Amino acid sequence: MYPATETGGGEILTFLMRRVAMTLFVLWGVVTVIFIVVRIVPGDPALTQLGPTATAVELDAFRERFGLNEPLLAQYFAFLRGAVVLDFGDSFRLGGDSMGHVLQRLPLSLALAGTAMALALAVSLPLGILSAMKPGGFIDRIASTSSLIVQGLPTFWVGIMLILLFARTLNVMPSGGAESWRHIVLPAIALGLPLIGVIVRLVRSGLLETLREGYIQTARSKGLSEGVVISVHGLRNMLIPVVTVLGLQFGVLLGGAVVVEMVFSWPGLGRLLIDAIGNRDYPVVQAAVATMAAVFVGLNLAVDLLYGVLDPRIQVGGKNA
Amino acid sequence: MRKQAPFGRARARTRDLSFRPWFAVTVLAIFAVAAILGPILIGYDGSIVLTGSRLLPPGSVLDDGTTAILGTDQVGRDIFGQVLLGARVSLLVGISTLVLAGAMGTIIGMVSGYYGGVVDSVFMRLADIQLAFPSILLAILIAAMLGPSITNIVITLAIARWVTFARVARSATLAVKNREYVQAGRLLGASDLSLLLRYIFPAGFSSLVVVATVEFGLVIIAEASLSFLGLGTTDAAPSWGLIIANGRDYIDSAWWISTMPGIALAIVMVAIGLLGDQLRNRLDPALS
Repeated sequence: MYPATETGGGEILTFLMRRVAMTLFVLWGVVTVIFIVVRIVPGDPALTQLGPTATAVELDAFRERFGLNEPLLAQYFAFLRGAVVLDFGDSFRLGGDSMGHVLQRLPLSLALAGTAMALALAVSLPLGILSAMKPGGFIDRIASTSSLIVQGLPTFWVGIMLILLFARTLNVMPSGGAESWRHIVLPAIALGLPLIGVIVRLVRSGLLETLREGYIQTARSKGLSEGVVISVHGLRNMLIPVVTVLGLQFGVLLGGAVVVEMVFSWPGLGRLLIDAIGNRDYPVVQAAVATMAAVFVGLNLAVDLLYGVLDPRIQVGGKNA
Repeated sequence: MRKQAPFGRARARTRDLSFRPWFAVTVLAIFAVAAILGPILIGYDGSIVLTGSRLLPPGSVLDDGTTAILGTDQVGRDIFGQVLLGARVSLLVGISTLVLAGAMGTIIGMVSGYYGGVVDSVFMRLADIQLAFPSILLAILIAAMLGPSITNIVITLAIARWVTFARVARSATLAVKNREYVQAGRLLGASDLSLLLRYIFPAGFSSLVVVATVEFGLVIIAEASLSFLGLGTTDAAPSWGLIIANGRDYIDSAWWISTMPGIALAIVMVAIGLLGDQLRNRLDPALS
């Protein structure tokens, strides 16, 4: 959050530097946690890759090639040096640079999460606004009940139910894969459904709060129509919490996508990760998790910085703070 | 901490439809009874394999004259019996995780808030690092590390969820630790431990109850998701997530296998959501 101090000048720079330093620290922590967790996973990667028939010589050659014979601390520093330049080593199983595989799959996961968010927004923004215009009214009650219900639904089960209904019974949508735009619809609905509940509640309470402010009464007493009052004066001030939550929720969607991708055979980062965990493919696991966490951390940073842009009252070293 | 504006009054008025807490409490009571007593009351073992009665639709009468009201699965296990066993897993994992994560988080949060300094910095930076992972991602990683079992899933989810408790406990501690009544206690010679337990903990208790309710739901969903991915429970203790995963391959011929446990899960989640809402409005409007 921005510091509200009376002094001007270098505050912005100090704030930015602190925020960036904090982000770097968190990223270091993230890759370290990944390194530790992956090393404790039971199962010998050499044995998993080469199979039970491999000879001791072959196993040793594999470990030598991927640096698994080095002392842990040496492995850790080599890993950190690589992580700085996004080099997490070659995949044990898929061949080629592990980050390359991740970057190839990342756009598919981003597309899925983005579509899910767009769908959720398209439904929940109008619903939230209508709810706030008549609190306690018919739409509000329907919206608040259904938000509660969809918020609790497990995405993987919703996914299977969507397949059952639209792919198997009605036969209007594909049940899995990623060949055309139609393939993204069902997974995006499954992933975005819980978010609808979150945004409806957020928009409703944010708008209701804004509508109690003095300048809204001024706008109304000027004789402006309710539609203008809400769209011009109300919504703008509600943007801040909504953008914040959307930024954070996008990261949650990326995490949730791991599960949904498994249901719909969507070839994104999540499927790559789950397969890599099963195969003990350390480099790919490390690259995939580090990438997801980095996107998440980056979003947090962006949201924090956007704060000041969206609400001029929040100023770094603000004169009118 | 970003605070959303308190919204108690207007919200309480519109949302306080009197049937809601009773609906939620009733559903959760049924869930608890079904989980604890259900598998005993139905008089048969839901995990028994009967190859003669595979993939029977709901309502089918079995060879022995009993009715499989929710049908049977691919190896002839009764779905109703399995759903009851799954309820047991959900309840067990949910409560154990809450106790573990709640205790861990509350102690860490209160100690951090009370003593401040290095302890506080270390724990809060740790929390920052942990929050950089989407929660389910961290759970997947840890679960893969520990291997599938009920104990491991409780440990996994407790590690993945302690932070929320810690943050709430910490801010509650910071809010009251310099109040007069706490200082009075200190002047009267109360030890740090006694101050934390008898003066500060009660002040944060209602916030923690609200958090615990929400977390209960999140834990149950997380357990189901992990089991669905094959990282949670094993066939010996069929979790709802696992039954749903098992039914996936038979979605064309036997839709009920995946559908039934999901409906149970959804109903429980809605009830927890309603209860969380009610508790938040009553106990802790500032959190809503």
